[in-house]
Amino acid sequence: MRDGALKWGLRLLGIALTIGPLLIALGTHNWDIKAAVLPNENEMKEIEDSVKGIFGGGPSENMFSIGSPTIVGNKLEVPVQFTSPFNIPIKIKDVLASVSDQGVNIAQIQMEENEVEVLARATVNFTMGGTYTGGLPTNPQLSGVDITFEFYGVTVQAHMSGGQGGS
Amino acid sequence: MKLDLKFSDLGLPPMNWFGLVTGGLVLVLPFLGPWWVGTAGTGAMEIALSPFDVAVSLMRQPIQSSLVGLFLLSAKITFVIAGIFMIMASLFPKRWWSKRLFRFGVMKPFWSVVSLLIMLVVGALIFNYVLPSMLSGAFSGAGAGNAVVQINMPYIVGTSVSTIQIGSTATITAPIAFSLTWVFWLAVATGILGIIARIYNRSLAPPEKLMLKQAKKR
Repeated sequence: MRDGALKWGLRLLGIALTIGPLLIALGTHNWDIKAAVLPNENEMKEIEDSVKGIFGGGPSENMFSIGSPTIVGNKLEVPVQFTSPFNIPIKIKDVLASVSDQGVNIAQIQMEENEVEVLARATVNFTMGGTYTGGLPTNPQLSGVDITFEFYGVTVQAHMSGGQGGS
Repeated sequence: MKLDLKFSDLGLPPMNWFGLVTGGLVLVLPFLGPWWVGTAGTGAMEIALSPFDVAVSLMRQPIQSSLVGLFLLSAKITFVIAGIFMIMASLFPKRWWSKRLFRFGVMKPFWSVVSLLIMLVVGALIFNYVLPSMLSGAFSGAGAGNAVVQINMPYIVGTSVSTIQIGSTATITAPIAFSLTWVFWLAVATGILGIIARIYNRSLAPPEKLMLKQAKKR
């Protein structure tokens, strides 16, 4: 008799510990299964906001603007301003681009810094340089930009084919 | 199978010593932390798993589900109860209630370890073989060009690199690392001890018929 009661008591305890959480979770969410199972909307919205721009439209062509180039020996140096469209901090690891003047490609330039840290939606300046033997370009444009950046240890390599205007 | 080891020969009272240790471990296991940890990048995604806790964060933003949270709390309570029952049953192996209380918790650590391993393997299979085609379709449908998603997830432990290639415009690469913690190995040890304790308990506890008689007398 007692053994039977204990046997059933333990079985009921097991069932209560399985079904109980389900009923409590559903009860506290007005019996809405979706609301009980999924994370709350605010948490999801924050994640969506932080990855917007990276997994959404991707890096845009308006992120770069270039300053007045200088020539040092046989090297062309171009100051570049980068405005981050991302809602999270990133590290720019590398930027490669072609410089054109009057519609003609004149040089290949690369970011000279090893790494540039950019805070969320911040603007940073860095220098790009490459071998060049001609005269000072009058209307330099960046085209075919390849950017490699990192956020939270994830590396993104993006290619932009459009031209970015000079100063 | 019967264990011939008799603690009474060593001058110790007739208790299930294996069960006592297992019970103690079952009692503390829920409070020792995650059994398995998985990361993508350095904070892009972090998952810490155990049968009692699931901590998921995306872009350092924690994600929680109330249903999952309650199930985990229930698992925690179940283990605490099971631990107490096992200790009681091991201290008094000849009482009529001993066998039932002992059985309630003795195999729980073993099945928890097995379930976690199955879940991790099934999860990796889904991520490696099902998710890439779904994500490729989703990215392509969202106008991201011809997207190729390649996920190489390790099974249970290891490191790998996963990539998402969106046409010729972007490549996203994430290092992935999975590892088991010392708590997992303690859970494995508890599971093995539980099996030993169960076998040993057969030599200690009186046969079921006698127990039923005892229970009826009371």
